Amino acid sequence: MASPDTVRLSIAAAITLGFKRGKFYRNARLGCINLLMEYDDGCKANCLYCGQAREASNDPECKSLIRVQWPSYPLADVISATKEAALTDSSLQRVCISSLTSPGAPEDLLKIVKEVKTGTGLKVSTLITPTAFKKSDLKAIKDAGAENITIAVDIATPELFNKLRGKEARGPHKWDRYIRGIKEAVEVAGNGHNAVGVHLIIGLGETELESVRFIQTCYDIGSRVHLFSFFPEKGTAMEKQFQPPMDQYRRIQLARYLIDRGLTQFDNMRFKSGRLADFGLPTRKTLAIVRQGTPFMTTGCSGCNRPFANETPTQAMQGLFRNYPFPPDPKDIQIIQNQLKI
Amino acid sequence: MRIGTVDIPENLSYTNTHLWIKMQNGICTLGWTDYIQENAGDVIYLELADIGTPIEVDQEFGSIETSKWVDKLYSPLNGRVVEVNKKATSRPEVVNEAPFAEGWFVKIEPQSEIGFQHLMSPLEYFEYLKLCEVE
Repeated sequence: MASPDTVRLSIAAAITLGFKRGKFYRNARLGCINLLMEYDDGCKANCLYCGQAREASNDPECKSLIRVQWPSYPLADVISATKEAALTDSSLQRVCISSLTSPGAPEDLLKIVKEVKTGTGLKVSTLITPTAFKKSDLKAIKDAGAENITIAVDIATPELFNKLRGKEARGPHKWDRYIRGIKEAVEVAGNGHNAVGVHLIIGLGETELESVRFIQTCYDIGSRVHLFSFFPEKGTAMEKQFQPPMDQYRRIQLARYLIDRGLTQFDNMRFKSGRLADFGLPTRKTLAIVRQGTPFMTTGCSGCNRPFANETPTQAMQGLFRNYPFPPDPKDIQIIQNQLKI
Repeated sequence: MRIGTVDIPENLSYTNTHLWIKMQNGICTLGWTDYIQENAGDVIYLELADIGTPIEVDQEFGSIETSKWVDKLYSPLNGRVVEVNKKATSRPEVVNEAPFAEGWFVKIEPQSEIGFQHLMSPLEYFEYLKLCEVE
């Protein structure tokens, strides 16, 4: 079986929909049901940090993505379970459908979007790769009812992109095509930053300056950045690499938030040896924003909170949340302030 | 005894943190109940105190993690850890597969008769689970 007849569900979604047993640390509630398309021959790309990569050592039946397994279910069962869950769980706001790099992906994603939209009535996001999706595909997806189009650029610089996802990684992706893809998505879905998202992973070898410059570029194009913290996936070429330092991730979260809210921009910030040294705002104002806690919550389409996707529950228990899936409480904020080192 | 699909063996005692305790030849064996393993999900990581560790009531003797949840394990008695289930730490899924058998956590030699947290009988635990289900 393969998509569009079946899809993979994140473990969090499988628990929320009752397909798997389990609960969430600190009673986190999932806001978005994440689906992942699947094919017998897997993903054609070979991104070195990704559990779905063509050359990752796991077989197709047990490949992980963002830290956990994604069990497979018939799409019809997922749709009916989502519809039923949404009736009683007000946290559930959205379904996000992630495509793989595969020639049939545009046509299959379109079918899934139509069925999910009709079957659940929830908002629908799509995660696409410009390598496989043309502008006309994006338009068809929007016309089918998807409110959001998201592109996982993942990497902040063209050099690193080529090294980890492109030719040097024996992968098909090209930086220029991805940047053009963001522009096409903005043209199709409209500006306003809410309709088009760009995934960026922190901790793949980039400097803080490079991350923030890329974030600013995405906003200038008319899209919004969704942040991820690198987590080493077992079986990938980067399984032995460490997560990025917490202070680095916190500063990028804060910079992204300030740009997102139009409070500052890249040109106003100062960097020392590639590290963020000044956010371009008075320190008192910056610290007041930090104390709100919002900059350190999961970023994504509305409702998306991906609980414990970039850290283990044990790390979260130790105060090492990467993305808070709920508003941080006063104790969390104290920890965040210590981690930020500003 | 059963509540839904959950087993409550009648030869064990229970705590309100869903540990079972079996006293045999002066040694207490501790493990996770069927109820908590069923609700918490697939165990992917288990850490337990070392042999010889002195333990007091409510003191942590380990932690347990499922894919999206984690908690510490707290002792219901004073004593000393005399055996640790290495099979469970190296293959944590055994906690789900056989919570009352191969999935046990530690064996503790109690310090004295006193120093036990209030333990529940199977019937009391049955009633307690009914309350847990309502919550």
